[in-house]
Amino acid sequence: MSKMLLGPALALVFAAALSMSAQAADPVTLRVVSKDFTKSNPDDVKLVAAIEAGMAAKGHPIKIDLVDVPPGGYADKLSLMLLSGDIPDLIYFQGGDQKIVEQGLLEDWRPWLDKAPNLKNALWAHNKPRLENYPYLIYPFPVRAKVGVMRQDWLEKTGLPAPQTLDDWEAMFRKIVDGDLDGNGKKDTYGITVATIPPAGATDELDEIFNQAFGVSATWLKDASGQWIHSRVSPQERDKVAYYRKLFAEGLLDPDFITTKWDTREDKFYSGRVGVILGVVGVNMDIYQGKMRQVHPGTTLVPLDPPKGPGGQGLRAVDVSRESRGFAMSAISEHKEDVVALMDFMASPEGQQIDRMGFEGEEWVKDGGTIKTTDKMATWYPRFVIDQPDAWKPPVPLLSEQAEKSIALAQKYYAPDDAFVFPSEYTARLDAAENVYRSYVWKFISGELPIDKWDEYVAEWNAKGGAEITEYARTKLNGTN
Amino acid sequence: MTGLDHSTQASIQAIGGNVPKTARESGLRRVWRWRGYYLMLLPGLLYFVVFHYLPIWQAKLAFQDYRIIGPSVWVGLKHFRALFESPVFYQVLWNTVLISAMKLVILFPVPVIVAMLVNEVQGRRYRRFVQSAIYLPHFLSWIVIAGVFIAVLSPTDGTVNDILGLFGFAPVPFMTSEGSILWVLVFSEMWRSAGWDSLLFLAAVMAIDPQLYDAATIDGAGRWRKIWHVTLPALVPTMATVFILNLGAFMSAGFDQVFNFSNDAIRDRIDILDTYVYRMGLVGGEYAYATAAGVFKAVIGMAMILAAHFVSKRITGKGVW
Amino acid sequence: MAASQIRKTPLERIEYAIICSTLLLMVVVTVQPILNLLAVSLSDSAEVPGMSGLAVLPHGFSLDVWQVLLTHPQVLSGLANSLLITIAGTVINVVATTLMAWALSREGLPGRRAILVFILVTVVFEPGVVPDYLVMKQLGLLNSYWSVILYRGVFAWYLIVLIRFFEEIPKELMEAAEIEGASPLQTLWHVVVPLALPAIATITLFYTVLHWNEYFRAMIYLNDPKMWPLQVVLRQFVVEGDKSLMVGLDAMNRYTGGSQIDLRALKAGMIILTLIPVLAIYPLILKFFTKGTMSGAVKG
Repeated sequence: MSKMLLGPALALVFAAALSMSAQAADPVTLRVVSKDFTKSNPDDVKLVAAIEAGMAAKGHPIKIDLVDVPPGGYADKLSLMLLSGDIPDLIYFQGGDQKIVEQGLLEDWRPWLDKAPNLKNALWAHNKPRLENYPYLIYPFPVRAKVGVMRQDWLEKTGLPAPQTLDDWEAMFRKIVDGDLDGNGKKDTYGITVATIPPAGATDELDEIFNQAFGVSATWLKDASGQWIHSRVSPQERDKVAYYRKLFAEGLLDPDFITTKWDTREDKFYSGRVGVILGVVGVNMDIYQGKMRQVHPGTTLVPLDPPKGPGGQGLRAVDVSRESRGFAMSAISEHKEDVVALMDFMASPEGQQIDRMGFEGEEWVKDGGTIKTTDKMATWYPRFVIDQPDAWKPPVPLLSEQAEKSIALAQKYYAPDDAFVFPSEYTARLDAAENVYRSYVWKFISGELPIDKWDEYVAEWNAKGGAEITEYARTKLNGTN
Repeated sequence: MTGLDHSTQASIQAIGGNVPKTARESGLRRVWRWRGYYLMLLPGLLYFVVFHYLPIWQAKLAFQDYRIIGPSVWVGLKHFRALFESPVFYQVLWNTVLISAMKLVILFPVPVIVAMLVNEVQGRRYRRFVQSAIYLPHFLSWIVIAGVFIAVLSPTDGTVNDILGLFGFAPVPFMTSEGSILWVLVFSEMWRSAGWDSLLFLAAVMAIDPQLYDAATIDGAGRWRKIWHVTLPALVPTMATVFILNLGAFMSAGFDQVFNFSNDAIRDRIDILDTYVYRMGLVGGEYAYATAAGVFKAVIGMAMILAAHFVSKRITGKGVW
Repeated sequence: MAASQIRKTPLERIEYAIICSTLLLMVVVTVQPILNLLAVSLSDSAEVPGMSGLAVLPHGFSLDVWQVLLTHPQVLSGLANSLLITIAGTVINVVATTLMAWALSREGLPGRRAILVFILVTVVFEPGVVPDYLVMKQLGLLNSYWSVILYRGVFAWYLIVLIRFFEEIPKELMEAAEIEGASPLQTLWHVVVPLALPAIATITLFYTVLHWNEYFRAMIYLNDPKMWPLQVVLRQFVVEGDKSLMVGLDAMNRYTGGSQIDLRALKAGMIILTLIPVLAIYPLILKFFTKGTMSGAVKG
């Protein structure tokens, strides 16, 4: 009789064990919200499937539920969504995170990094201090530095070698202005122009390459007496602004730069009205390149080294007080380990392979023994992170030679800044002081005010909030805060 | 409604609408008598309660530290104080008032004049042609319009300065001069909206009894007298209403326009309440700030309408309501 | 205008010429930028950079931009959504507004003043996006067409203007109808509406345009891309609100499958595309702008 029971009993035990293990392996569903990553885009849906498969293969299956937010107006829509109490597990922020942090709703990433070796390894040089200062956003990604870009054939036409010093740059500008390099018979070309991209000011792009040349090496500098002062009111800044004035007065800097927005800046660049513009390193170089080739077939764009001046040489100091965009984890999520596992996977070689290269047969193909990218690669973009080069290198360069060169430039001239985040009570004063700076800089550059009125500007800057800002900064930077 | 008496009657009715004294009835009976009308009011009133007064109630977050999870903390006037204590608040306030006042005073007559001019055109086809074109810029966003104006006004290669150059004038930096930027704002607003805004006045003009014009012609009135005695009085009620409604929005001087026309040279001059609040919001605490600013704007707007109400009561005997 | 064009003095002729030329100038100045946008949208993408803002003829000729715009499935669904929202919304708007304006234009209505104040307050007080969003969420209307259709159910500004129009209608006409036993609705339909047709037509046009141009609220209230109206779809091509460099091109590349279309040309095409329906409706509205609707209405 026991033998007859054995069969069904075993079956029962077997079934129970099976269902228990199935329950244990029931994948958690993570709600993820990110920009340009939506359920309605078939590529995104495919990517999600690939990620889920990849994680399952590694023994940590999850399901990803994308929360659709329109990419145009992402920050606004995300803000409202969070404010109304709808908080996904993993959130990509492109602004608006501080309010949420103040409410204690975002998780500190640092303790989790030990469980995420790939993610930890993926961090670039600038990510580490940013994470330390503001541990709520994590974003392994190349730094968004800007470098000067110009047409290679134009550079050759000037007859000069690639400019190294400030004088070289001036000479090159002069050749561009006088040389009618666009061949239209009119002297209507300028050496350089820049765009005003809110919330930054008009000269912000110029600062990217000229700051270090004049010794404006960081946001907070020490003056002659060893006291901390804001770079905006430093003698180095004054010398730099005087130089901008020179460029403007001699017709080397586009006089309309003050009203130029990013689309008119590019219009001028492609139509030959300006020689040099500032462009973000990396993939943007290729985008410019593509458009320039469409308008002027056969041209190549080259990134330029920043000029060397009395203060040094390099690109503007990189803000490491916090990531301006990146991924955050909800502090009230019930699946934090899974969120960390997901981010770790995306930083691992398998994850990078999918996220950055796309799919075989679509974005890339195997040709014999080598891998070749297809045309579709031009419209592929990583949805998550980009590992620093030592952690993972794609088998074939994903960017053009010049774009890679621009990234190398950014790495070569990388310098961290000493700016820090002010408490929100200072917001109004920071805004007021900065506005004083910007309106006076215009007056100096356009010649409305001579540069020797600099002290008048400094007094005004201090009066409109600069003095209190400096006072706070001194206590903070001297460590007595 | 007889001919030329229209003007005085219209001005009185412009603001208030006459309310003849009916015999006193008991309240409930009156309501029952008017029940048909109340029914008509119902959908609209429901809408106002749900979609306006509920959000107004939610705007109490201007007085709170809003917590997403958990109860919000009442902080009274903290956000308002933060708004008022900013070093640039008074400049911003002044800018807002100045720009609004300029727009209100200068731009107010323009759509009326346009409507009257269009009305003078006798050929139906030409009139239709004009009507079909002048409203178009209203549909362009300020991003586009700012781009157009910046290009046309450029001191280096803009059309306007090219023309000025032909007459021997030096180029004027319209977009960067503190003196001219306000006029650029006013003028671009006019360019964008005069045609569209004139539609309402055209509708009013259409309602004028042609016999009034005939009577005026017989009396020997020329074009301009006809306009003064027939056309204009018919427009006064609409003009007054539009003016008062615009007063209510006095503190909103046009965010999109100012945002797109701003540059470092003149930001101080045209920064208005809304652009200022927007900038503050980029960093943090935006919704409380913005809602506090909204409450502030509403209070001022209501005050202005109240002022208009009492002024018109003094002058014409009737108020806004 | 009365048919008294018989005698025209030379001064009158000159006056008339000035009036007509001023209007012509207005037309030129307002239409030129639109022609420029049309020209840019029809230009060859390689020749667009550097095109002057004054040009009214295309540089090179290419239908690429229009092809992308008109065949993109999301553009077509956006068009359908816009039509749905605009038509439904406008009908509700005009009916509700007319009913309310009619009721509020009757002086004897008890509580009229209070209600007017009640409405006036909503003209001045705009609580802002955040309170509106929270209320929508509480009502459960998020991601539903109703949120976009109803959020401007009655525009107080238009309502008050319409009230004033109705007040201009001679009281005798309405009293006559009432004596004959007409209900308020009948009086409205048979007496008031025909007389106030231009005003109602104008309000209809205003509401249509309000719905058609709506971008921000639609983007905020509607999550599902399949529900987006045209304006939201088109703004995704070119993320204008986004201040970060190059996102526009990124977005455009993704939406157009990487074809090398000039961003400026695409933007220009977008603007023209959204103008076309308005240009189509407008002449219809003009038909209601008939003169002298009140003539002969008052007998004696």
